[in-house]
Amino acid sequence: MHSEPQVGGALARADAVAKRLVRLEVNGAGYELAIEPRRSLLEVLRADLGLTGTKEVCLLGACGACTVLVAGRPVLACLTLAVACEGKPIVTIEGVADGHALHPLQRAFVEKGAVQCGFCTPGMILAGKALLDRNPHPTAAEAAEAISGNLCRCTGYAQIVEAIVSAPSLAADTPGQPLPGTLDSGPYLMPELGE
Amino acid sequence: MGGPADYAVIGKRTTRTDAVAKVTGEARYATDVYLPKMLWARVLRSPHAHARIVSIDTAKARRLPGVKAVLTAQDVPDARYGALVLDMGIFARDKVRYIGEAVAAVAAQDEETAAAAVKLIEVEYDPLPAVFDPLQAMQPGAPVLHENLKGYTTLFERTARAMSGNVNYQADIARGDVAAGFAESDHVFEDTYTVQKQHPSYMEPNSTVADVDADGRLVLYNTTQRPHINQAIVSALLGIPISRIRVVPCHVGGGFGGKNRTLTEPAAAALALKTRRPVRLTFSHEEEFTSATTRHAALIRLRTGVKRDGTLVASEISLYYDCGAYAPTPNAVWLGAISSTGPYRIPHVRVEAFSVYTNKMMGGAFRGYGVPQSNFARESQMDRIARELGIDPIELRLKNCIGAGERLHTGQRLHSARVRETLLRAREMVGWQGAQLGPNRALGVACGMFACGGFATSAIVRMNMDGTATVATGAMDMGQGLRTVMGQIAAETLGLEAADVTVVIGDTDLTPFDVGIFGDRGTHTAGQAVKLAAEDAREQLLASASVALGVAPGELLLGGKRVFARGAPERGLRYSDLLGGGQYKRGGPVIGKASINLTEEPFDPVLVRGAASKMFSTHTFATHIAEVEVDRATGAVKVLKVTAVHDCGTVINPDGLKGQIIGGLTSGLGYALYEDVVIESGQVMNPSFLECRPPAALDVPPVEFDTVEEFDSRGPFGAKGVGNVSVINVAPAVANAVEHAVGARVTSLPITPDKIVRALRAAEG
Repeated sequence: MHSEPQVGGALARADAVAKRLVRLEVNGAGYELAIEPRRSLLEVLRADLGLTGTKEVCLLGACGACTVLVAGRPVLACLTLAVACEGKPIVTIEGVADGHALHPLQRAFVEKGAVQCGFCTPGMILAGKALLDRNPHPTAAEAAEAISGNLCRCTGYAQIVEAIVSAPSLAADTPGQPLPGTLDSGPYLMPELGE
Repeated sequence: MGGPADYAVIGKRTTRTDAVAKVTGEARYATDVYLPKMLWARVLRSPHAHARIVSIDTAKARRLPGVKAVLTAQDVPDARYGALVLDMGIFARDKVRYIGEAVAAVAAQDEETAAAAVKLIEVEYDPLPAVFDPLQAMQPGAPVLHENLKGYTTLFERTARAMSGNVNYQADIARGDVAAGFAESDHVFEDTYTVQKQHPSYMEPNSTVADVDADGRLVLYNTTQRPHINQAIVSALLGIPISRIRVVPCHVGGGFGGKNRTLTEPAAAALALKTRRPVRLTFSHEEEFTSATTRHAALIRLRTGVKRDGTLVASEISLYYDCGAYAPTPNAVWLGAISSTGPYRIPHVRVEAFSVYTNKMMGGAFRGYGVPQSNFARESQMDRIARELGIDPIELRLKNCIGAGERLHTGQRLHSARVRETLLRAREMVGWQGAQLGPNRALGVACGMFACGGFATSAIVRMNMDGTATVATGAMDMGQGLRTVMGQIAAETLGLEAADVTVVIGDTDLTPFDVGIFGDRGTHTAGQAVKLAAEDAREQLLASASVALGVAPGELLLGGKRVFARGAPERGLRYSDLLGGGQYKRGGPVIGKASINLTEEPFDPVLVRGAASKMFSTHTFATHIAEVEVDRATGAVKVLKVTAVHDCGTVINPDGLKGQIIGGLTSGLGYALYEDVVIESGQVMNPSFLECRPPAALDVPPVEFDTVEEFDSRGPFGAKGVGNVSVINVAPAVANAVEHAVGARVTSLPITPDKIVRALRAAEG
C-alpha cells in the first residue's frame, strides 16, 4: 500500500498500517485490543484503557513519569510498544492498591508528605514498588538510586526516599485502617454501597 | 496572642487533602480530560527569530480530511495581553519575534492529523535582523522588536527611558546620595555578574481542554495558577463577556510561576468556539522549552562602597533582564530591583532596572521571581568584600543585616525581619569556624530577602448543616499544598478538625476572585482571606447561639463542634443543631466572607519610579550554607550538604514546609550548577529533559533545615511564606563555597566545571 506524502497524517497511516489483535493483562484484568503495532504502551493505557494515572511528560525516556511494571520490572511506557507486552502482566498506579486498602508504599507517600503536585507520583511509586518487591528493606541510598530515573521538581526527593524506606514498617499494619492525620479523604475511605 | 502550642490544627502534621487521590492515580489533571467528540489542536510555530510575515496560506491544511479548523491572527480579534505592557496576541500578526512563536493553530480529529495539517500551512517570511543580547538591544540602531511599543497599553508609571527602543519596562530607585556615599567609603568594589535562563521544569505540560457547554458558555479545563486572570484574558482577547466564560482548573502538575501564564487557553478557546466541539491543546515537551517561559537571563552590575570595618555605605546597581520577544511579566525585574540591596542596611542606593526585548523565547516567572538573579550578584560581592577586607563572611553579613522597623531603599518599612537570627542559627548548625574545611573543601554562606504577599483576594466560608465547613477561594493550589493549608486555617478558626473542612478552589463559577498564586502570597495573603471569612462565619454562629442560649456572644466559647457558655460547658448547642434546625428558626444559613487588598505602607514615590506594584505585604528571609568539594583537575563541584534556616513566620503545615524548603533549594542547586536553556541565534539548543535536566534524586545532597520563630501581623496565625526564598540563596552559597575551596571565583551561572578550571588557570596566572 502506498501513501501520499502531501496528505500524510493519521488517515494515510491508518490505511497503510494493519492493526494487530493484542491481549494485554493490566492490573489483573484481560483486554483484547486491535492496535497499530507502532503505538506505545503509554498511549494505549491512557487513550484506549482510560488508565490516565500513568503520566505523559517527555516521551523521551528522560523523566520516568510513565513508569509502569511489566512482568514485575519497571519500564518506561513511553518507550515500550504495547504489542511487546503481550503475555506479560502489567501493573499501573491504578493496580497498586488492594481494593480499598492502600499499598504500604502508597500509605507511606501520604504519611511522609512525599506528594506535592503529584504528577511524578505514579511513576515514583511504581519505581519504588519494583525496588521493594526485590529488596524489602532498602537503605536510603538504594531508594534514591531506584528513583534516580524519575524526575520530581517539587520535593527535592527527601520525603520520597523516606517514604520508600519506611514502607516496610507499614506493611505489617492492618490493611484498610484509616490513615493517620486529619484530612484523609478520597475513594479509599468511602464506604461501599450496602455496607 | 496565642503561640503554636495553643493551636489544635495550625502547626500540626496534617495529611494533604489530595494525597490519596494522587497516590492512587485518581487525581485528574488537564491532560486527563477526554471529552466526547474532542478535537486535538497543534500550533504552527515560527522558524525565524525575527521576520515579517508576508503571507499565510492555510488552504491545503483546511482541505486535509479530519481537519475541522485552522486559525491565524486574521481569524481572531486584534487584541493583546501582558502584565505591565500589553504586547502579545494569540497569534503573530505582521511579524514573528522569536523561534517558537505561535503563527497558526489547527483543530483536527486526532493529534496526528493536526500535526500533519500544521505542516501544510504555507507561510512566507521576510527575515529581519535580530538581536539576542539585552545590552546590544539597548544600543541605538539595534533591531527594534515592537515598533509600536509606545502605542501599547501599559499598567505602570512610565519613566523617561522606559518604552523606547527595546526597553519595555524600567524602574528606578534612588535613596540618599550615592556620590557622597562613595566619597565616604574606604573601598569601592565594582563587579559584573551574569545569569542564565532556567526553565521552571514543572512535570505537567501546559494544557487546556476548551468546550462550549449546552448554554453556549465557554468552559476551560486547564492547568493554571490564576484561573480568574485566565478568564479575564480570554475574555479580552476573544471579546467574550467574562460571564460567558468558566475556567475549571484541574489538579496542577507543578507551576513554580510557569503556570502563572496564559499560554494554551486563548487558542484552545478560539478553536472550540470556531468548531463548537471540545478542543484539547497540550504543549509538546519541546514546545515547553521553546514557547513557554523561563527565568530571565540577566546581567547585573554592582558598585558598592564600604568602610574599612565592613559597613556598607553606598551601592549603585544596574539590572538588565533579558525579557525575550514579549513581556508576559517584566515585574520580575521589579522584584530584582527591590531585593538588589540584599537584606542589608545601605544608606545610599541607586538602582536602575531594565526589562529588554530580545528575539528569544520569553522570560517569565519562576520560583524566586527575579531575585535569584540579583541575589547571586549581591551575595557573591558580599563574599568578595569580606575576603578583601579580611572579615569573616558571616560577621560581615551580621554587621550590615537589616531588621524589623528599618526601611528598605524603596521606603517600605519592614515589620517582620529576622534575617539576623537565620544567620546566627545557620552558623550554629554548621559549627562554623570559618569557611575553609580542608583541601578543596569549604563552606559558603548566602542570605536573602524576598518581598511577598499582597494583591487582591477573597474567600467564602459556608457552614454546612452537619457542622462542617466549606471554603471557596479563587486561589489555586499549584501542587504545593495550599488547599490543605486553607483547610487548616479555617478549621483552627472555627474550632473544627481539618477533616471537617472542604476546600473548593479555582473554579470561576464557584469561587470568588483571586489574582493568582505567586510570590509567596498563597498562605500569607489568600490564607488571610480564608481566616477572615472563617472569623465572619464564626461571629454569625456565635450570634445565632447567643439568641438560642440567651448568653451574650462575648460569653460564648467554641470547641468540639459546639458553642457553649464560658464556665458552663453543659449549657451549649452543637453546630449541627445551630445550623441544621437553627438556620430555619434564627436568621439564615451561615456564610462568612472576606475580600482584601492590602494598601497601607506603599513604596515612597519620591524614592521609586516605575514601581510595578504599590507594595508588598511582608518579607521572608533565609540563610543557606553550602558545603562543597571541588576537583581541581576537572573543575567538578560536589555539594556535600546544604543547611537552610528560614524566617517564614508561623509554620502551618510542617510536612509542607519541609517539602518547600528542600524542593526549593533543589531547584536552586540546578540553577547553581547546570540548568541552562542554551539559545544560539534564537534557537533553543537543548529543548528537553534529556539535555536540560533538573536535579535527580542522586544529585541532591543531605539537607538540614530549621526555622526561626516569628509572628507576622499580616499573615494568618502569623504565617509568611517559604516557597520563593528557598531558591534564592543556593547559587551564591555554592559560588562562595567554591571560591573558599579552591580560590576560583565564578561570576556567571551556572558554575560549570569549565568555568572553574578557567578561573583556576587565571588565578595561577
